[in-house]
Formats: sequence, structure tokens, C-alpha cells
Amino acid sequence: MVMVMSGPQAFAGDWSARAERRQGRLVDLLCDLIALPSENPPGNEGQVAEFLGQYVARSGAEVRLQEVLPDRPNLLATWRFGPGDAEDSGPVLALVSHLDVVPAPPGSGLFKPEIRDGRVWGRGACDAKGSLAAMMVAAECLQEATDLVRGTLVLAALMGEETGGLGARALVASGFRADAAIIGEPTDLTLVTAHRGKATRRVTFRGRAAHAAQAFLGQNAVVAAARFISLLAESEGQVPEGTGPRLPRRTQITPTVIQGGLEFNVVPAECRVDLDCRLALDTQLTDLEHLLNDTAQVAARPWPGMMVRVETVGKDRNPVDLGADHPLVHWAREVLARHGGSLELGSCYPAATDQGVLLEDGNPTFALGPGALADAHTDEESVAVVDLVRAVAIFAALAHDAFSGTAPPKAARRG
Amino acid sequence: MLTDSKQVESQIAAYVDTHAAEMISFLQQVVQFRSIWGHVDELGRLAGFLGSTLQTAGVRVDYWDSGTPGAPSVLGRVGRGRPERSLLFCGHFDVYPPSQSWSLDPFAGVIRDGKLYGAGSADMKGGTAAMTMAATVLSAIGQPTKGQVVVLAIPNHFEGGEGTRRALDAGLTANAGIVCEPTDLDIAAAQRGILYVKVRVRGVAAHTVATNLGVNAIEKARAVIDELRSHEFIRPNADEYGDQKIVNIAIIRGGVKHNIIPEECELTVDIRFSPSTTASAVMEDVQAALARIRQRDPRFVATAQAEETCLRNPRSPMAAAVHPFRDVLARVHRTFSGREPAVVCHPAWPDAPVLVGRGIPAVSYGPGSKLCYWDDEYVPIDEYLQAIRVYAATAVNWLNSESEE
Repeated sequence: MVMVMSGPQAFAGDWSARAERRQGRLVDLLCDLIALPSENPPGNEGQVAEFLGQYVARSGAEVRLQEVLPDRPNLLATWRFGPGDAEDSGPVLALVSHLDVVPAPPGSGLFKPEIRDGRVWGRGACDAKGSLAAMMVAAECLQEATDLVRGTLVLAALMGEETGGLGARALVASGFRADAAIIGEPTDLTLVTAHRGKATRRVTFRGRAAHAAQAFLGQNAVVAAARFISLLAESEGQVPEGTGPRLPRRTQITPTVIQGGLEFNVVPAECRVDLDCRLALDTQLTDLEHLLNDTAQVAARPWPGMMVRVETVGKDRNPVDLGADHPLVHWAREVLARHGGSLELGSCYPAATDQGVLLEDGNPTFALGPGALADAHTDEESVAVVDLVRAVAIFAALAHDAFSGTAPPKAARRG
Repeated sequence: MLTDSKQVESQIAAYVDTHAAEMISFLQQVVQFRSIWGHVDELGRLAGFLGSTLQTAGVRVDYWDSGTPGAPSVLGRVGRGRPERSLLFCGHFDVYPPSQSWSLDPFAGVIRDGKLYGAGSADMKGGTAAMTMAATVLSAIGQPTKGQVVVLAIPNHFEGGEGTRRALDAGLTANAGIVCEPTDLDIAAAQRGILYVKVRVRGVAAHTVATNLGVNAIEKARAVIDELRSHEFIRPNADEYGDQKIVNIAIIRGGVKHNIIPEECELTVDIRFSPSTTASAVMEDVQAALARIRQRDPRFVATAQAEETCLRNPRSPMAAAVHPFRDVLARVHRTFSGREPAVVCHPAWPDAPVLVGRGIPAVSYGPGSKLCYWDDEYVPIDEYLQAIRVYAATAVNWLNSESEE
């Protein structure tokens, strides 16, 4: 393994100053992106992708659209630096974020971006159009560098992230490879190496209908479902009698959608609860299955005929981790230290992102981006302008390091 | 007089015995109409079938606006007496959609072991068919000689007795009423009231990974379910009926998306309450239940309100009242069945309180179980035929004697 640490750099890489000079342009760009609604579902990323493609083409990117679904493409912008000879084209650094945003409530005005209190407000401001804008401007900044030896920068703006990462799956299926990939998500500019697993389960209780006047003759599936939710909540504190293994603390189960009953005066025979399950690194899916099945059985016990079914919705994602000791992590933290990012290592990002898909596919990937996850998906979504600017500097500095022979991505991969 | 009534009772019994096969076949045909509540075309067709059956038997028939366009109420009149003396029989012919778990065809009208099976066979095509047949019996034997028997069949009982209310609004009057809902041929002199309450629980939306920021409305709604099923809420009123509330947590809807902490969860609850209390008192109990949760959990935010049709057509309770026509009904029942009828509080909600609310003394009395199950509902055929006899004989005995008073 060869780790080449260069001496004083030939190019004065004051990326913070360069980023600051572009602040106005950056904020305008983010506002433009927010104003192009790309709600998913339904997922109409086509317009944003087109806008983004035109923007990056102006700084010399080779633009490719990967049509995942009709009018729902991934956008891939590529800049090649250096001689580009066949023997060693240098490291591939991928800046990855997503085009889609979660839907906004009708009339919320979230697609009319606002700038106030030093922040940009609107749907996608932090999740993740803020990251996208910062990556686009960082690529632009990088054009000013005069000392790049070799390397390839790929900006991958993916579709379908909010609904399970269809775009990321299409990307890895097409043979995509990166020596280092950075997922732009709201991490408060903290470097995140690990990715929780995610599983969605639908639990359906089926009891027996009866006339409400004789409610006691029925088997009320809604009440059974409520009991199930109670037991699940209790299981976070202590294991309810007769249930399976206790899950590690950070695994979290949230009932998100419930639906049961049809008529006022009929005892509801069916009720289903959707559960959003986030798995901690040390949790196995089988642990989750045991807990849900056992808890559901206990919940149904007071009604002899109550049936219960636990179904998987969508695709399960196991927890994955790049590892805190990965050379990429050491390198990236150094760069962060120089550009006002957080030195803390966010151990495990609580949300599911495309990081999981890329990591599973073997691409060394970490997540890093401006904005707070707490603001994501809310009606008050926003991002601080100062963090956007910082993100530009960090992304540009990482790319510059990687392509000027300083950085370890290629070496790390080969090592 | 007593001899007269004995004669008429025998005449009625003989007529029903002779025509039992046709009467059973009529009920079967009524059950075969897929007259599901809201299916206006089929309800309209069944109204026509009931009307033409009555007309053929010589009963004067009118179709009245039921409040459901396309499906009228059927109003039949028998007797040449003064119209201001009348006994009203009420029935409905809308049924609930049968569940998927019937073991029989819910609209075939299968007869097995003396029972006729079908969606709404007990609730209450059995009673509606029985009152229709009773009218044809009376027409055939030229009774009553005094006063009039009025039969009112409505297509929209499930909207809080809408058709009955419309008919009364339009000027229908009577001196007494029998609602032919299933009572196991007991006399339901009282009944519970019903309140449908919607409880809307508010949380705070957030990404599921930011649970510290969100407030999960589904988890908060769970507390409402527990509280409304607690003894403190359902506890009996200290009254002659001694009944606690019957609570059905009927519908729950909450959340919008797999990965968003639900901001709202709505519960619809059906509460059956004793005749000794009122809908507004029950509403206060609901508010008190929510206040108890709020006391334990400052982050609990919920509002409760009565469901819209409960405000428009209140399902009031009915306290038992003594009235001469009830005694006549009881005596006729005893004559035909050889036993005293039980006088009970009906757990469901026949239209009787609607009549009582307009000053018409009323009880419910009809074939089929008050405890009818949802699936494989049936009406015992002997109860159906018995109801025809009792309806016809009660009408004659009460109207003829009342007019003489």
C-alpha cells in the first residue's frame, strides 16, 4: 500500500474563500431546485434532472441520464481531470444525492422557497437539494484548480431515494464503481459511516364482526391492534411476558399508519398497522421477526379466534457500516477539520439513505451534508446558508485532495 | 266483545295457516332483493315489490319521499274506519352489506331447519315482511272495522330512521306504533340510545428517525381506546336498567406514510347508553375521559365531537312507558304463544324513539334475534308467522276496542 502524502500544495486551495464568493449563486441555485417540485410519490424527477443537467453542462460536465422509470431518471454528470490515459485514470470520487423530495401538504407553500434568518426554507432545503446544490457548486469551484493530476468526479443525482432507493439500485446495477462515494444528506456536516437497517412490516389483526349493540360478541381487531402497539411500546422498557428477545436499544419501531373498521355500528373485524422499523447495527432481522410475531400473538391472546399476520412491505435493508477505522474516514475527517465541518463521527445515521445501497454494493461510502435531519420531511424544512457554503468548501476540498494525488481513495481501495 | 276477539284471532290463525307457504315464499323473495343500504335502484325495486304485493291484496298504497331519491317509502292503509284512529307498523328494508365470511349465499334466502337465512333476514326483512303480510291478512278478512292500520316500510333506517322521520314530518300520524324490528318476540318497551363520537387525536409529524421531535398520534389514540374501554367510562348508571355503556371502537384511521410519524389519528366510537342517561351526558363522559388522559400526559391533544348524522337524527334512548295498546299486544302474544311476553330494553336502535318523540306511544316487537350475528343471519320461520298473527290480531283488538271507548 502506498500512501502518498505530498508536501506543500502547489495550488492554494482556499476552498472556503471560493465557496463564500459563490454564496449568492449557491442560494439562488437551491431556490431554483426547490421551486421545481419533485415529490415522491409520485416521483416526477424529470424536470429537476433536466435543469440540473443544463447547469452542470456549463462547467464542462459530460451529462448522462439513466432512465430508471419514464420521466424518472438518474442524472450522472462526469468531469475527468488529468491526461486520462488508460493505465491509471486516477480515483473516482462520487458525490451522490437525490432528486426527489417527500410530498408537501397541499397549500403549504413549501415549493415557494424563502430566504430568511440566514436560512433557505422550502421542501428539500435540507433533504437533500441543499446537498445537491452544494455539490453542483463544488464541482464548479473545482474547475479553478490548476494542480489536479488525475481523477474522475461523478455527480450522481438519483431518483426514488425517498421510496426505497430505486435510483441507487439502478445505479449499482449498471456497474457503477467509485473509490469513494459521499452521500449528500442532512448530517449537520458530520461524517456518518454506518447506516441503520430498515424494515417495514404490516401487522394485520383479524377478529370477528358483530353488531355494535352486542359489541361483546365480536372480536374487535382495532382493540387488539391497540393492545399490540401498547405492548411494543412497553417492550422498549422491558420485555413483556411471553415475548421474544429484547431488541438492542437503538432499534426503533414506530407505528406510522393504522386502518381498521368500516361502519360505526359494526365491530371491526380487521385492522392493520404499518410499522417503521429501524435496525441498529447489531440487530438481526430475525430478532425483529421474533419480537413482532411474539408480541402480536400476546396482543391477540384475549380473543380466542383473533388471527394475526405479519407481512413484509418493500425491501428490507440490513444495517451496514464503512467502519470508523477506514482510511477514507481518517482522510475525510482531516479535510473536515480544515473546513469547519464537525470532527465528531456520527456513528449511525438514523434514516435510510442511498448510502446503504452503495455500501452493500461494495463502494466505500459515507454520508455528509448540510442541514439537520430533524428538519427533514417537516413543514419547516430549512438549511442554514453558512452550512451550505461550508459544504461547498468541504466537497471541493475532498475532490481536490483526491485528484491532486494527496488523497487516499485509490490507495485505500487498492490497499 | 271477548267472543269477537276470539273469533277474529281464530280467523287470523286459520288464514295464516292456510297461506303459510305463500307467506314464506314472499319473505324469501324479499330477502333475495340485494337491497343494501345506499343501493338506491335495488331499494327502489323492492319498494315497488312491497307496494304491488299490498295493492294486489287490496291495501291502499302510496309512495312517500323517504329522503333518499329513487327509493321511496311504502305506505299502506287497511281499514275503512276514521283515519285519525290508527295503529302504525314500521319496518325498513335496507340491509347492511354482508361480510365476506358468510358460509351461505346471503341473498339466496336459503331455508334450513325452520330458519330462513339471508342478509337482513332478521334485521329486519322478517319484520317488514310480517307487517306487510299482516296488512294483506286484514284486507282479506275485512278488518279492522274501526280505525285504520298503517304500514310504513322505509329504505333508509340506517341513517337514523330517516324515512320514518320524513313520513312524520310530512304529516303521518297514529295513535300507537309497533316497530317490527327483531326482538325474539319480546316486547322492547325501552331501548338504548346511541352516540357516534369522532375523536381526533393530534400529534406532531416528523421523520420516523427523529422520534424525539414527533408526537405519534397513533400511540396517543391507543390511550383513548384504553380509556373508553375502562370501567370508569362504561360504568353502569344506577337505574332500573342497570346497564353499563356498550362501547364499540368502530373505526380507526391514522398516518399517511411509512416513514412519517403520524400527525393525526381519528377514532370513531359507537356508544350505546342506558335510557336513564342522555347523549349530551355521554358526550360529557367522553370529554372527561379525554381530560383524564390529558392529566397524565401533557402532550396529549384530542378533540371529540358527535358524528354528523347523530346531530341531524339523534338516536335518543327510550324509557319504558305504560300504555293500553302495549297490554293488548301482550295479551295477543300470550293467546298465540301460551306464554307471557318478556318486556325488555332493546340493545339496538329501532325507530321507536322517533315515534315516541312525536307523541306516538310505541314499542318494538318482531321476529328474529336481538342478538343476530353478522354472518349467517336468519329468522326463525315460526316466529315470522307468529308475528303476522300477532300484528293482525293486535291491530283488530286494539283499534276495534279503542274506537268504542
